[in-house]
Amino acid sequence: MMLDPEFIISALRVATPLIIVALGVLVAELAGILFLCVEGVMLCGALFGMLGAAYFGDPWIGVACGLAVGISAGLLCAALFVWVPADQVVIGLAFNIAALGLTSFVFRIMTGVVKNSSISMAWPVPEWAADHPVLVFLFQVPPLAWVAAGLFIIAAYLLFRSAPGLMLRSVGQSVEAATSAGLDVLRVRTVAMAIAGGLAGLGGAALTVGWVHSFSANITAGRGFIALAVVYFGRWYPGWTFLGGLLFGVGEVLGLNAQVLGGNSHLYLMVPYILTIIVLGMTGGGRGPREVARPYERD
Amino acid sequence: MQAWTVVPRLRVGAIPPWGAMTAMRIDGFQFLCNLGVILVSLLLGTLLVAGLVEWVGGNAGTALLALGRGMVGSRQAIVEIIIEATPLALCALAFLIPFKAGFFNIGAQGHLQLGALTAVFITTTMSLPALLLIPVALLASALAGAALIAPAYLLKTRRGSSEVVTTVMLDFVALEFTYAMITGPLQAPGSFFAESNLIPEQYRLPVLGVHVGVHLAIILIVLASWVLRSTVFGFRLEALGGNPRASEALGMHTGPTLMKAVLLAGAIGGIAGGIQVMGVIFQVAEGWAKDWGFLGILVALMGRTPIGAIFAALLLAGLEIGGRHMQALTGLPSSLVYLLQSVPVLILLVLSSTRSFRKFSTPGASR
Repeated sequence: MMLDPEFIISALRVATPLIIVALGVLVAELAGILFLCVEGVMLCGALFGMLGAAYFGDPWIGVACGLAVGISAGLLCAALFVWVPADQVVIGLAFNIAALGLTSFVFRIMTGVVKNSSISMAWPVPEWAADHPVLVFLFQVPPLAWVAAGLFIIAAYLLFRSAPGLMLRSVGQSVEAATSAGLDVLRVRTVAMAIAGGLAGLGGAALTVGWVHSFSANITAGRGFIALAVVYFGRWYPGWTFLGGLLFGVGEVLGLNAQVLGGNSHLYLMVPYILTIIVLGMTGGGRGPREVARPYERD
Repeated sequence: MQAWTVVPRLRVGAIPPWGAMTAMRIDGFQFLCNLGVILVSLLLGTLLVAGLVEWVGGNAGTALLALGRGMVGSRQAIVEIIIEATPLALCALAFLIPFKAGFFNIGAQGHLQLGALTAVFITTTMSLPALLLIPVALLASALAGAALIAPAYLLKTRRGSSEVVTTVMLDFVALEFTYAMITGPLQAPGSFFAESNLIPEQYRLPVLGVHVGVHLAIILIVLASWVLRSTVFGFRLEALGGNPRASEALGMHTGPTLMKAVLLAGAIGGIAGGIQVMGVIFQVAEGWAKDWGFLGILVALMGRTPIGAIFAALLLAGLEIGGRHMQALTGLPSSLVYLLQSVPVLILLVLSSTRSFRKFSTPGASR
């Protein structure tokens, strides 16, 4: 069953939002920010992505809307976390509840717009490829999954092999060292939060526009927190984070198909969280960025 | 006798508003500053939400009036608010106690779930005299909550993992476990929905005006307030939160202190679930716990002390109850209530962490 192309494609579809959002969380974490409000940002991206797609009639514009809303939300978070600076944990939680309220409210008001949309991002399989099962499979892979993979490769390179990436990571490791090296910690973190928020919004749009094709109140249902778990599961390595996102996606598809497999779907859905806790228990918190969740105030 | 048996006056962070008043240790200026900033944020938050309502074409005045009527308009509403505020205040307590020691417990939602599940399990499967079984069930739900948070404590102290992440993960473990139970072994026989059996009449909490759980919650909160303000344990917690290394250097056993605080928090969260399910809902069903665990954190941040949390819980619960009234009267979605609950807290947090406010409200402080 695991090697069934249909299963792989549905797993990819489920994993795509998770992977993109996890990348956003990774960027924020490496810059020393605990991105607990990722759930709320993802929810905003999910709603506005869907609204954009329905309004303009083009899924890609919807995805762009999700990205734009995500960037704005990330900048708002940056204003609160970096410039005030307020506590990242409690502000994050309050932000999530506010985002839940806002998106449910807007959704109720605009419910007509969101519902009558039949959008599909899938590429049609061209004629010349129809004979080869491998090519057909490659065309059936959700387009956003390719985007996610591309983003990961670019991000892995930028974060660990380039000067801006080094700047970002040094801000996450030690603000004092970064400051004395002449870095503007606040500015680097603001940029990091814009990127992280954009990715979270994009992931939210990937959830609604790319997979579910509709929005409902609290549609993310904790997926932002799963993305956080994925990053901790992956020990802040982009490669492992990517694999973790895929693994969690597979777990969720197994959970959704629990009737076929036997067993309770909720027990399957519990597995990712337990795995994360076990990984945290085995490896400890030593490797993570040191400055995470510590508010930094410039004198 | 240790040197710190007589609790000296400490200034760790801002002195909390309502708690300071009740304990008759009024630092008038700070109290007024904090109360003022709370009122300003409530006002700003309400204005923002009113603006949103006007923007979508509603009538903000009517909506707010309906909300207010729903909150204080009838005796029934006030009783409902008190009942709704109980889990909120207890969840706030579950956040506050370890928060004093610098430990973020985001896991109240999970404690609620597991505590309620345990209470339902015991009351629907065992048969003992009610006077015996009700306390046993509540105790068991406390133990369940404490057991759930234990891994977070162990991972924090042994492996250095962030408790924020582990408690959130444990939240979802508890949620999925509870749902697995109420769609599996504990599902009400013959029911199509994800719900447990109803708790038998004799094992429900007795009613004295309101169900006994409310009284128990008030006792717990007052007790916690006393423990935090006037005992050695409370002092150690505050010292630990203020400066863990200094407390260790002074010879405090920081490990056991933190452990007690964290387990206590889990137990209180578990009891909150037990109370709610034995006093109000009588069964665990999908979505029964709403967002109490997370809202409890907002309550804690607004109230800042156990006693303050009572007031904040009443306010947030009032918005919830008033919001239903508002939805019925004006047709505005009740999700507006989430905004009314969270936006003022966001503004409050931002305002009170700005540098100028901290300078202004703590005279003589270095920053």
